[in-house]
Amino acid sequence: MLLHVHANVLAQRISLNEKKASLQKVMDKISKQTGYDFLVLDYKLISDIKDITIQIQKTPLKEALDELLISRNLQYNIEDNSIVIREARRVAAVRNILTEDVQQQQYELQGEVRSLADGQAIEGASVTVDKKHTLTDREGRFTISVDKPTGVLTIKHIGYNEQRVAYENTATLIEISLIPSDNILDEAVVIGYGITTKRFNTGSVASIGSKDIAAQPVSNPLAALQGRLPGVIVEQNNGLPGAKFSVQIRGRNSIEQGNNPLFLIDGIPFDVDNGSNFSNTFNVNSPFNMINPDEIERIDVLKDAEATSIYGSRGANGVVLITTKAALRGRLQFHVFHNSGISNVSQMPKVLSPEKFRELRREAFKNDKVTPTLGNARDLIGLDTNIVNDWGSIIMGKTAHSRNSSLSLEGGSDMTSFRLSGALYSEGNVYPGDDGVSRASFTSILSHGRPRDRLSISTGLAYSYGKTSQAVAELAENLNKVPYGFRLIDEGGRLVWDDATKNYGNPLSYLYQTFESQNHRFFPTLRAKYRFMSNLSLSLNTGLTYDTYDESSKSPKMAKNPNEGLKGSASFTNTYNLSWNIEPQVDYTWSVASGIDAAFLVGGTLTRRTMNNNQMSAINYENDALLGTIKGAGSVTPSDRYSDYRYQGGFARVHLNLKKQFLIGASARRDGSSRFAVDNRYAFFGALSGAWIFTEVPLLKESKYLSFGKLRASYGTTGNDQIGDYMYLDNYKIANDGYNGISLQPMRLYNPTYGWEQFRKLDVGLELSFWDSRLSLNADYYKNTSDNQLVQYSLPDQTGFASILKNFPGKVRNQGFELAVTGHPLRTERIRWTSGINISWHRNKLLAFPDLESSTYNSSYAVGQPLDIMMGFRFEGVDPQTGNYQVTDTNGDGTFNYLDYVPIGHFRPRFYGGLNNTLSIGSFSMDIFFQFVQQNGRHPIYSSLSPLGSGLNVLDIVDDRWRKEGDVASYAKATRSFNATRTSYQWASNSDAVITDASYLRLKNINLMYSVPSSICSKLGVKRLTLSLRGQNLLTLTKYMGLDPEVQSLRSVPPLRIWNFGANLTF
Amino acid sequence: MNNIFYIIGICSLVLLQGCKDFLTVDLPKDQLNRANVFTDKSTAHTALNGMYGLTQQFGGGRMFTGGLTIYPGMYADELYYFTASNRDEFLESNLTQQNDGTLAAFWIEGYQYIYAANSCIEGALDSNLDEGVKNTIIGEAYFMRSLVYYYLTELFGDVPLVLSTDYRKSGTMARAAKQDVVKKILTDLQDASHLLEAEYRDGVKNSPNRYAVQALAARVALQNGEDQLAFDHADAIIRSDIYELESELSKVFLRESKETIFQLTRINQLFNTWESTFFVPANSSSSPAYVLQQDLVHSFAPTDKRRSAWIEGRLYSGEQLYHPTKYKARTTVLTEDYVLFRLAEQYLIRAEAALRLDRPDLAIVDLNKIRSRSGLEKLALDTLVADLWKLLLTERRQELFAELGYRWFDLKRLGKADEVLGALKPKWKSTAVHWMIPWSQIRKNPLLTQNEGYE
Repeated sequence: MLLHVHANVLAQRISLNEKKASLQKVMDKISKQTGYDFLVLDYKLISDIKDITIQIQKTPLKEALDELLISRNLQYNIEDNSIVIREARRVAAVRNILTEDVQQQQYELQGEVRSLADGQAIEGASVTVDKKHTLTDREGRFTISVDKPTGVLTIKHIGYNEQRVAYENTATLIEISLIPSDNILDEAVVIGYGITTKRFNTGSVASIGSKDIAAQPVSNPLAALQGRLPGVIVEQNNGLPGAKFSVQIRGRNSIEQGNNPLFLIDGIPFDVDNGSNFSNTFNVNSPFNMINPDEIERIDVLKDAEATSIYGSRGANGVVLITTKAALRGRLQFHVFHNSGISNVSQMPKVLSPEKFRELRREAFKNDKVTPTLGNARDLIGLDTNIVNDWGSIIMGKTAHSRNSSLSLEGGSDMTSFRLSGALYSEGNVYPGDDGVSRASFTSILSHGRPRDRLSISTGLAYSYGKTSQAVAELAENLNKVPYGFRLIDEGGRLVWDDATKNYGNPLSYLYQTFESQNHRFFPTLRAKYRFMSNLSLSLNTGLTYDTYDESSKSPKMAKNPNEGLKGSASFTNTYNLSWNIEPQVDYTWSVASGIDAAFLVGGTLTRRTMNNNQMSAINYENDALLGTIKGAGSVTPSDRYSDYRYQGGFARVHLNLKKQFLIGASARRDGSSRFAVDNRYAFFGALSGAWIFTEVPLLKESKYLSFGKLRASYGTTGNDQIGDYMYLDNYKIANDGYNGISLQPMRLYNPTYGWEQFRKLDVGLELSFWDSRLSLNADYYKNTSDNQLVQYSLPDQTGFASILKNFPGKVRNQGFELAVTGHPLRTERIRWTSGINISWHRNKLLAFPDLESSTYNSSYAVGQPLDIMMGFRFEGVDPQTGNYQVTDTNGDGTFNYLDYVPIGHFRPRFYGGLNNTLSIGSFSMDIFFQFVQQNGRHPIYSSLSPLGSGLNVLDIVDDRWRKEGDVASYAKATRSFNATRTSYQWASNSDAVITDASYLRLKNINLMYSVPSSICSKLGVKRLTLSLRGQNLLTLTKYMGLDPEVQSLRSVPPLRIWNFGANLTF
Repeated sequence: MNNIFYIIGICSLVLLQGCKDFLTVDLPKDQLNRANVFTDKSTAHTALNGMYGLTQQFGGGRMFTGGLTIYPGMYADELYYFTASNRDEFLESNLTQQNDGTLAAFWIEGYQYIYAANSCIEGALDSNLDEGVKNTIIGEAYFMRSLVYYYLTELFGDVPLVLSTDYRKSGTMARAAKQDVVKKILTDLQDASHLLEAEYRDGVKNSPNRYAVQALAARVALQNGEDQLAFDHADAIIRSDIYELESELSKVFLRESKETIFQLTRINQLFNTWESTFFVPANSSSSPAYVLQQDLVHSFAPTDKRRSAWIEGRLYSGEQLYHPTKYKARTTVLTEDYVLFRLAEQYLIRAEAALRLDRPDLAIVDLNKIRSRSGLEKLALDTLVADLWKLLLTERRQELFAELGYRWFDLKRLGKADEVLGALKPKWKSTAVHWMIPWSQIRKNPLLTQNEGYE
C-alpha cells in the first residue's frame, strides 16, 4: 500500500525558488507543500549543504528530489509519511575499460544488493542505468557497463521499494540496501520449512501479525485468532480464566480422531494435550496459557494440501505456525509495557423468580395429583422463602481483575544480537474467592551471523511458570438451583450446613475445595545454518520442551456435606512431558535457465515425546490442616500413566518459478509413527500445486485497475495420527483397584490392522488486487475427501468392548468457500481507514457408506447428510389433550424408538467470519472487530431431560406451557414424576425441537490507541509512548434465548466482557 | 553438485535407515501385552484376579455389586425403592426404554466379564505354562464365564454365546437359544470341576475351587430341569465336609463364614459390600434406600431367627420401614465379603432336586437342616409332597431373600410368576418373565431380536 503512496507522493508537484539556500531550508519548504517530513539519519550529511540554488515550477517531487539529493550523494526513500535521507553508500567502483571501440569509453560498475531488513542478498533485482539493464545474481551482485563515469542507478525488486543510487567513477563496489515495501503482496508468509511471499505462494495460508494479536486483551494466543482468519473456527469452552480453546481448520476432517491442527512454535511441535488432569477435567489450564502472546511475532495457518502436505501425517487438520519474536539488530531498545483490565459476565441468566419457580413446582404436583410433603417437596415446604438466592450474581457476579506487564531489551551489532524479555500476567476469576491464573515468563535469544554469512546460529531459551487455582467443581453448574431459601455463609464467614444446604448442597463449599496447578515449561531451541555455497545450505532446527504440571486438589471435611459423612480428601498429581525434535534440512536453489528458477528442499524429522504421570489419591484425612501432605491421609491410592510417542519422517519439496508468471510446486513426505502396528507404520503423502500470475501477461500488465491477479490450485494428500498411543496392542493393564493384590485386566481388542487416516485435499484459489492494492480479494474453494478415516467403530458390546479402531468404509467430503476482502476506502495524509471482511462457508457430507442400514451407525449417520447430523424424532408440539410432547411415529409401528429417527440438523457453523475496521486519524487509531457466526444451537428448554417442575430452575421463558386440557402451548405440562409426560420430555429432547437458531454477531474487539506526539515523548525522555484502551466481547446480537450462543450451556461461565487499559513505552 | 548428493544421501540414510528401530516404543509401565501376561504363574493369576476385580469395577447396582439383588428383588416381590424414580418400572415389572441403561449395564458389563474370561482361556491355551497352571486358569475362567451366562440367560432368555475374543466373530452373532447356552455352561462346568482342585488357589474363598464350580453347576442344573445333575453336584459339595452351616445367623455373611463356598471381595478401601451400602441406612435418621415388602417381612414365623437376625425396621415419617441386614458392615474395616455361593443354598437345591426325583424323604432331611438352624420346628417325615413344594418355596424365600435375585428366579423356575406377581402388579404380563433386550444393543447389532412383549 505504501508503494501506492510513493507513487502519489512522488507525483505531487512542487514549486521552489531558492538561491544559495541550505538544504535544511529547502527541505522545510518541501515539507510544507507536500505534508511529508524529512528524516535524516545523520544530520551531518546535510548540515554542510548550504549552496542550493533551485528554481522549479510545478515539478514532480521526484524530479525535484533527484535533482536536490542524488547529485549530492544522498539517496532517499519514502517511509512512514516521511522522506528518509541516507548517504548513498556509493563507493562506486568503476574501472576504465578499453573496449574494442575506443571511440566509446565504457565503465564497468559493480555492486551488491541486500535487503535492509535482514542483510540477505537479493537475487534477481533489476539494475538499470540509462537504457542498460541487468539482474543481480544469487549473491546479490551485479556488473553493468555504463557509458558515463557518473550517473544514477535504479534498482527494483519485487517486495522492495524502488531505490535510486548515485555513482561516480572512483569507487570500487556499490553497496545498496533495499527497503522492504509495504505492499501486502510482498509481505512474507511463513510456510512449512521456509518463507515465501504472498505473491509467489501457491498454497492457502491465513496469517495474523503481532499488531492484531496485541490489539486484543487476551492471555491465550488462540483467542486472538477468533473470527480473524477465513476457514478457521476458534471456540472457547468456557469463560473461566485459563479456559481452553479449540481450533478447527476447514471443518471437522476426522470423524472421531483428533481434529486438532498441528501446532508448531518456531518449527517445534507443541502438544495441545499436556496430560494435566486439571486441564482435561475442567477445560481450563490450557497449555497455550504458558505462551505469552506478546512474544509472538506472527501466526500463520496453513490450510490446503500444498501448504500442509510437507507435514505429511500430521497435516490433515491444518498446521498452525507460531513464530516468536526474533532479536532485533541495531541500537539497544528497551520496551516497557503494562496494562490492567477488568472483566465480568455481561449477561446473567434470567431464570424463574422464586414466586414463578414455586408456581411451577406446585403446578407439577397438581398435574401429578401428588400432595407435596417434606420428603418430596422440600423446596416448597422446607425452605425459607424470605431468603432469595440470585445464583447468577452469587456465583459469577464478581468483577475479575487482570494485570499484564512486560519488559524487554533487545539490540546488538551487525553480527550478534540478543533479546531478553520478561513478563508477568495475572487474571482473576468471576467466581467468589481469590482464585485465578498467573504466569511469569522469560525469554532470551542470542543470534550470531547474518544470513549471508557462512554460518549463522541462534539459540533461545523460553521459560514460563504458570499457576492456576480454581474450585474443584464448576460453580456455574448451580445456576439452575432452587432460587431461594439458602443461607450459605454465617456471620463468622463459615459455611452453613443446615437442613437446606445439607439436602441441596452448599455451592460455596467448592470455594474451599480447590484445585491448584503449578506449571513449569522450559523450551530451549537451537537453530544453525551453514552455507556450503551461495545456493546450498544445510540447516538444523532442534528444540526440546520440558513441561511439568504439579497439581493438587484439597477437599476439607468442613466443606463436605455432613450428610455424606466423609472426611477430608486430597489428590496430588505430577505430570512430566518431555519432547524433542530434530529437523535437518538442505536447501538448494538453481537457476535452470534465464527466468527459470528452482528451489529444492530435502529434510527429515525425528520426534519423541514421553509423558509420565503419577497420581496419589488420598482420603480419610482426620484433620483438615493436614490436607497438604500425603502423610496425613487415612489411606492413599497411587496410580501412574506413561506414554511414549515417536515419529520420523523424510520430506522433499521443489518450487519452480517460471518468469515470475508460472509457479509450480511439488512436495512429498514419508512418515512413520509409533501409533500404528509394525506393518502399517509408514505412509507416503504428497502434493502438487501450480499458480499463474496472469497479471504478468503483457495485455494485463499495463492494466490500470487490476494490479495483481493470481490463480492457484493444489491437490494432495495429508494424514492424521492423533489416535492415541498403543491402540493396536491387546494390552493388559494394572487395574486401579486390585482384587486381592495386583490385578491385570484386558484394555482393548487386538487390532493390528488399522492404517493411516488419509485425506485428499483440493484447493483452488483466486487472488486479485485492484488499484495498486487499494482493494484486494482472496477467494478459495476447497474440497477434501476421505474414505479411510479411522473411527472407533461401534461394536455390539457382546464382543466385550463398545468399539474398535477401524478404517472407516464410508466416504466423507468437506467442502467450503472462503473469501477475504481488504480495502482502503479512505486514505489521506491524516486519515486512514482500512476495512476487511472474511467469510467462510463450510459443508460436510457423508457421500457413501456401504451397508449403512445394517451397520452399527444406522441411527447416527445418514448418507447425504453431514457427519455432525443429529438423528432424532420429528417434533409435533404439545398435545392439547394430555399436555405431553408429541413426536412423529415415522414408521407407523405404534411405538416410538430409534426406528422413527430422521435427520434433524446439526450444530456446526454454516458460515462465519469477521469484519475489521481500522481507522487512524493523526496519532489516534481505532480498531473495531466484529465476529459473526451462523449456526444452530440447543434450545435451552427442549434440550433438557428434566421436565419443567422437576425441581431445577429454568430460564424465564416457559410461561407458554400447557396447564389445562385444551391449552395450545409451546411447552409440555410440568411434572415431577416418572410417567408418560417425562417420557415425552425425553422424546422432545431428542427431536428437532432442540435445534434453534444460535447465530450471532459479536462486537469482539475494540482497540483505541493514542501515540503520544514525539515532542512530548522527547520531553519525557522516551522514544515512543502509546496508550491503549481495549475491549473484548463487548456486545452480542443474537436471537438465541440461552445464556450465550458460543458456550450455549446454562451451566458454564460465558465468555467474559473485558476492558483493559495499557501503556507501551520504548526507550 | 556432487557434494549436494553426498549431503542428501547422508541425511536420508541417517533419518530413514539409521533409525529403523526408532519407532519401537516403550510400553507404559503399568501395561503388559497379553502374550507376556501368560508367561508365568503369578502374572497369570493376577489376570484371573483382574477378571474377578472387573465385576467390582463399575460401581454399585451392577450384576455382582448388588444389582442382581435389587433389580430382580424389585421385579419380584421382595423390595421397593423408597424414592419415586424410574426404578419403579422394576417394581411394576413393566420395563421400558427409561431403563434401557440399567439393563444395558447388565448386558454390556456381563460381556466384559465374559471377554476377560475368554481372554484368560485363550491366553492360557497359547502359552507354554505348566499343565497345572493352565488348568487353574482355564477352570476358573470357565467358572466365571458360566456364572455370567447363567445370569444373562435367566434375565434375558436367549443371548449371544460368545466364546472367543475375536470381535470379527463375536460382533456378528445373533442370540443363541437359551438351552444351547445352558448346555455349554454345564459342559464347561463339568470340565472345570476336573480342572480345579478342592483347595482354594490363594487359600481364601475369593477364587473358585472345584466345589464353587459344582455349586454353580447345581444352581444352573436345578434352574434348567437337570434334576439328577443338580442333586449330584449339591450332594458332592455337602458330602465334602469342607463347609458347614454357621449355627449363628449373624455370622453367615462374615468373611470367615464356614458356610461360604465362594465370595467376591472388595477392590477398594471405601466400604465392605455394596449390599450393606444399599440396605443399611446411612445414619439413624435417614430412610432406608431399599425397603422390604411388608408381605415378606410378615411371612416369617414369630420364632424364625432369620426375621430378627437379617431384618431391621425403623419408623420413618410415620411409616414402619424394614430393610435387610444380612450384610451389616457399612464401615471401612473389612469384615464382610460378597457371598455368591453358600452351603444353605446347596441344601435347598438338593432338597428340591430330591423332591423332583421323587425322594421327598431326602428333601425333608435337607429342609430340616435349614429350618432347625432358623429355630423352626422340624418337618414331619410324612409331610405331603404338595405341602413340601409350598414349604420349599417359602423356605427358599425366607432363607435367600434379598440375595442375588433368588426369589425372581424361583418364581420363574416353578412357573409361579404369573400367579404370584400377576396378583400383585396391575401391569404384569406373562411376557415379563424375560427382561427387555436393551434397545441400545439392538441398535448396535441388528441381528439381535427383541423379546416378546417389548417390541
